Amino acid sequence: MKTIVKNSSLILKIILTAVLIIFLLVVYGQANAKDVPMSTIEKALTSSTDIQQMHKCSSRELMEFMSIDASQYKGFIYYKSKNALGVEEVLVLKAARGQSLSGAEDAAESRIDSQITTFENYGPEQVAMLKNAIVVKKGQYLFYCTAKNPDKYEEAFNHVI
Amino acid sequence: MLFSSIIFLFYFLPIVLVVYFAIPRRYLRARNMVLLIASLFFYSWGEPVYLFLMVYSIFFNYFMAIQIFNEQRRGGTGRKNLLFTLIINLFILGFFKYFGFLMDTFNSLTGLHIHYTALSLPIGISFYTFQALSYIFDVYKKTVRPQQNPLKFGLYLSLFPQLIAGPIVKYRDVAEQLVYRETTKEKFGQGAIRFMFGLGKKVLPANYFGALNTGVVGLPDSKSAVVTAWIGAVAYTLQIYFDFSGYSDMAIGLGKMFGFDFLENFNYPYIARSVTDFWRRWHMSLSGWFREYVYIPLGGNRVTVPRHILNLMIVWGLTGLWHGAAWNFVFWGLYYGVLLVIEKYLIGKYIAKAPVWVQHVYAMVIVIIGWVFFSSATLGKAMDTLSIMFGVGAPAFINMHTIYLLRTNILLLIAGVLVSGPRPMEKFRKLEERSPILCLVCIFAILVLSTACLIYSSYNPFLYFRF
Repeated sequence: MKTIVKNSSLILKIILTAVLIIFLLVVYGQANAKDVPMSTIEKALTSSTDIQQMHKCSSRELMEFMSIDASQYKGFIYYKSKNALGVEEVLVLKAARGQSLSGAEDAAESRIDSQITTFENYGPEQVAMLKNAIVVKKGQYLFYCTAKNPDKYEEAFNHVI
Repeated sequence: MLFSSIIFLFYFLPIVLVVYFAIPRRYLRARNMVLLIASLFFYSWGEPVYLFLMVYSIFFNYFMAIQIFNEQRRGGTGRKNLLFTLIINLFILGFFKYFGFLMDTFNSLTGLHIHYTALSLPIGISFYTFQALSYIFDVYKKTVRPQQNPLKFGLYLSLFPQLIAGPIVKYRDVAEQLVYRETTKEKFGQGAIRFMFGLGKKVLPANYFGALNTGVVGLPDSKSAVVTAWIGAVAYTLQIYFDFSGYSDMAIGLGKMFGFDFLENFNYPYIARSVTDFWRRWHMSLSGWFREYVYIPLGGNRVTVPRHILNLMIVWGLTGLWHGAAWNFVFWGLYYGVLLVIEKYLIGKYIAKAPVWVQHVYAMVIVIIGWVFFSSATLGKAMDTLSIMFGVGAPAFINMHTIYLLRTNILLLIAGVLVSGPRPMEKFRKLEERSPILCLVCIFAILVLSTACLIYSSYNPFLYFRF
């Protein structure tokens, strides 16, 4: 009886440890991203997308449009449509090691929602673009893009990290 | 999810309160279930992937506590199970919190450039891991019996009011409350007032002083001056107090609203008269944890002087490391370790005899310098700031920008210093007895002002969320 209890307890411990290791490997695998300078990411986006047709924004504009305080993060690239009625924008945000990006992710989601509210009655094209927007976290980076072909931007971003 | 966010204040909390109080008092199990589901939902907000880690931690520690108990009942010591539990818990914490730090240290020591990805820290991991460990240690020491109901243990570990930034609640302090707790109108009212005070502390002074400190830290070297650097350091000192004690007030207040009584986490630390006194008043649940589970098992002060000094340095090194995986945090911890040793063995008796104002100034200068190590991104940056604060390499003692900062902030800085002491709360208590309506107006004003600030402010997390 004692041996059975001991063995079942040991098996459960092995299972618990295995589950933990598998979870950690999956999380690590999904989050794996190279630590590259923001300038390299910007170069990659510039060479393979239409980002240069947008306006490069300052930290003040990042706060104004995205409600994100740039000083809380390690770096950012933020481009926005030059057209007042354009909703195209690209944001790459780099967090410090171990820093959570969930706040920035919330900010990006809120931005999309508020833009949809603004355009929903008269800008079907813009709304379609916003509904197709991409917000992803990868390693220390947050990538957000609203554009005609957001996949193209995401691909360029993924390729460099 | 943040307590100081519109979604928490106007959606999550009201819904949870309505559902919780819709269940009659006698169905405590159902109320506990509502709190557990709400807590897990609260935790999964933002980082759903780490919900698995929380659920894993609940089941793992629940199961291991029973293993330890059963082994001891069979005549064993339970030591192997304790060690296994400790290793797994610390491995999880280490993997998320210290892996990047270890890799950076290894890379810089060896000159190698091994690529790695530092994962984002699961929110509150340091807090709930320490809660789980306190439970495991208490079961091992037979201070408490293991919880047989996984849902009750899950509620203890994940209870949303204190889940992500403490206070670190020991299982034995809430074990009975999981089975029976009073929820009265008076207690709910006290909790709500405490919560609103906490919200006000975070959204109004903490964010204001945070912005002031950020402004000073971001100044170019040419604009810095000795007094400016001190203004920045004092602003951070006030920011971290209002931020963290505000969070603790909100956590304790929310707990009360649901019938729980958590221990206090702050006792006006900035009126301390010595470093020892400061640490009896600041983040009391963490100092209590280290005292009970590290310092005393190491022998505490009932050992030889060299061993006592070593014990203090171990505890304070670990305290620093708990706060963050960076050398500046380790240094910050050891800084306090050294100062406590000096106070205990060399200057403590002289400080006790000094005039009260000298004691306050002494304690606060040490605390402010400590926060410079704590708030700087690296040890090097902390040293640069300290150099300027003490006039080494500073372009000026005072300049036009300092005068501008003083003229625009001095009144609020003085108000911040005054409000960080016990007097305003004593006055409020007296006012509460004399004119409850006026008190309600004050609290309502705090709520309205805080909400207005929240609507127009950017995402602004609590400082202690990163731990």
